[in-house]
Amino acid sequence: MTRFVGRRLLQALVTIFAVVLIAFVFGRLAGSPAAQLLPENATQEQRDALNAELGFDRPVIVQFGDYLGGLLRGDFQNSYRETGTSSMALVAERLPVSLHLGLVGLAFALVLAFGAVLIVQYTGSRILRSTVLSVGSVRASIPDFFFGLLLVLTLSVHLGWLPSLGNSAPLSVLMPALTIGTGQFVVYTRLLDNSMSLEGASDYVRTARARGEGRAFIVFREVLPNAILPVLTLAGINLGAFLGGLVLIENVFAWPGLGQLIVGSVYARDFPVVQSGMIVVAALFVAANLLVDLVQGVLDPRVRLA
Amino acid sequence: MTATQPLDGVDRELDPALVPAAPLDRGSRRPRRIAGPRSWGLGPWHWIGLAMLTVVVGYSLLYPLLPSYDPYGQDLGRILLTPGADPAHLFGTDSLGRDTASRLALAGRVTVGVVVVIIVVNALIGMIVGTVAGYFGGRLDNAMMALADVKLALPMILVLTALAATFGPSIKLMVIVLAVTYWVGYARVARTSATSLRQRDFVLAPALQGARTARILRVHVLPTVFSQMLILASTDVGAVILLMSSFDYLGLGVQPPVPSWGSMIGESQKYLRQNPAQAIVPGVAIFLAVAGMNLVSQRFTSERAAARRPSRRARGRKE
Repeated sequence: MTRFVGRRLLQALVTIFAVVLIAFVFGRLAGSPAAQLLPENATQEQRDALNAELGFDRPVIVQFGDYLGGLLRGDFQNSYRETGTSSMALVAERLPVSLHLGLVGLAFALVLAFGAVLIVQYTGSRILRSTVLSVGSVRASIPDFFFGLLLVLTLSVHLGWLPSLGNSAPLSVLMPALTIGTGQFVVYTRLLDNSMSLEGASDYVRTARARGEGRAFIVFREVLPNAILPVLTLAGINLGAFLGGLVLIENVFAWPGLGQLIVGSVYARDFPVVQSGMIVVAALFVAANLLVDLVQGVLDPRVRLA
Repeated sequence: MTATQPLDGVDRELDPALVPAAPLDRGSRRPRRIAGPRSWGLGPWHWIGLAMLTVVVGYSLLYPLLPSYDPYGQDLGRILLTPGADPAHLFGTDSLGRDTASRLALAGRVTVGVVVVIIVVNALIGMIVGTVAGYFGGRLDNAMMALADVKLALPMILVLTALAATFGPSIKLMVIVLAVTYWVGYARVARTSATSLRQRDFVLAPALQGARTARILRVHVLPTVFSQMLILASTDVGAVILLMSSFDYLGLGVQPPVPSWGSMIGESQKYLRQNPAQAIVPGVAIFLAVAGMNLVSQRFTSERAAARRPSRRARGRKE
């Protein structure tokens, strides 16, 4: 188990390093930020001074070394826009706002998907199954941003039930979370249904049935625990797409989270903030995947050997 | 190795965890419709999908032939018309008085072009990389999988946003970014396929006879992989349209004045209250294209979409 954990940790570190490198390269591709930060009539001396201050006059390798060294000391560089504020402080400020939306959305998705699939599997109803899967397919054919707009149009513009933008009212999380939740619902319904149907056809289920066990026992105690493993794996892989979707949804609903901060900083060429933001997103992804793998290693000894 | 069904020459070796199974109870598999020459093996849902696609593609191709086609002409005296308010503007006009019906058709043409380019390039790159990695295995294989993990950790929207800020957003940039990143899914399927083909008799036999590796790959391995790539590509069209429209919506893809379904929705969001139809019309077009394509692609596969990313657990078991 120790070796398994050690290897996964090493993989996680390599992934994060790659993301740091990519984030840094993006920042340097754009060239010196002097043109954005200084007034248009700034002299060449002022530009040179700023470049020297930010370290842009040195070789790129040296800059990257400095940056990495800074990261290890916990120095994520200061934001160009809000001088004197650490870029990581800005990111940390927005992170809970995004997590709030993401977790509520994920909760919607999991409750809906597990509820629907468990009912389908428990009743064994073919009509119910194709209904659930069809509804999922229809939702999967609508882009998230358009689904969000449709929600705004009906719930907010026509019915006036919910506030449409921002996160000021306590209920404003509902529409963006519903958009994310229904989008993810499709993914998890398919995965879980597939996985449970497959497990349902295996020998131990037939044995249980022959023993005369009830449906509830078979579905919840025998099939579900085994069927959850592959779902968990793909959930980890799906997280990257999920985080990307979050960026989009935040823009649709003007939700002041991490996604909006990063996109805004990109346009303002505030690269330290972009870099810190990308590092945090990647770290979230890697941490969640690590957790998934470890949980799996605990639940299923075969994984540890792989 | 799982059971293979030599059906119309397509070798369907799927990950066992992803093969669809019958519902829990009834025990028996749903009877499969047998492909007859007369029906082309199309069920009712395939026909519905085909009809939806025909509506969108036919409209995009044919509407520009009408005399009222004018996607760029502005008329500030006739802005934000609702559909039907003026017979000259079938779907109304946008905030600059441009004809929505014309812009919808042009956006459809742009979408078809971009999607075809993205999918062809990705399928080609994925096929080559995946086949080589799967057939030879070893270090190359590991390197490819590591690359795939890094790619998965980076939300594409962030990458494209960062690049767009550096180089300026353009349709070219979007196509390049999607073309060089989206192939990982294809590579994985090609790799799985090539790994299993490597041990099959009809691949081993020519190798034993001293055939050159290039020839074995070209004659015996690639045709099978290629048909898998076609199946995957058919299921991918919908996904690429969705992705592309998201980028367009954020303003990272097709640039004005050229219209795209995503950017039409994005622009109309500002006056959603006055004229919701300007957002709904392109939204319906996206839905028809994506849902239609998804229904049609089920002709080639049922649950193939899930097989795009073979589970890590399954991957581990094979190695």
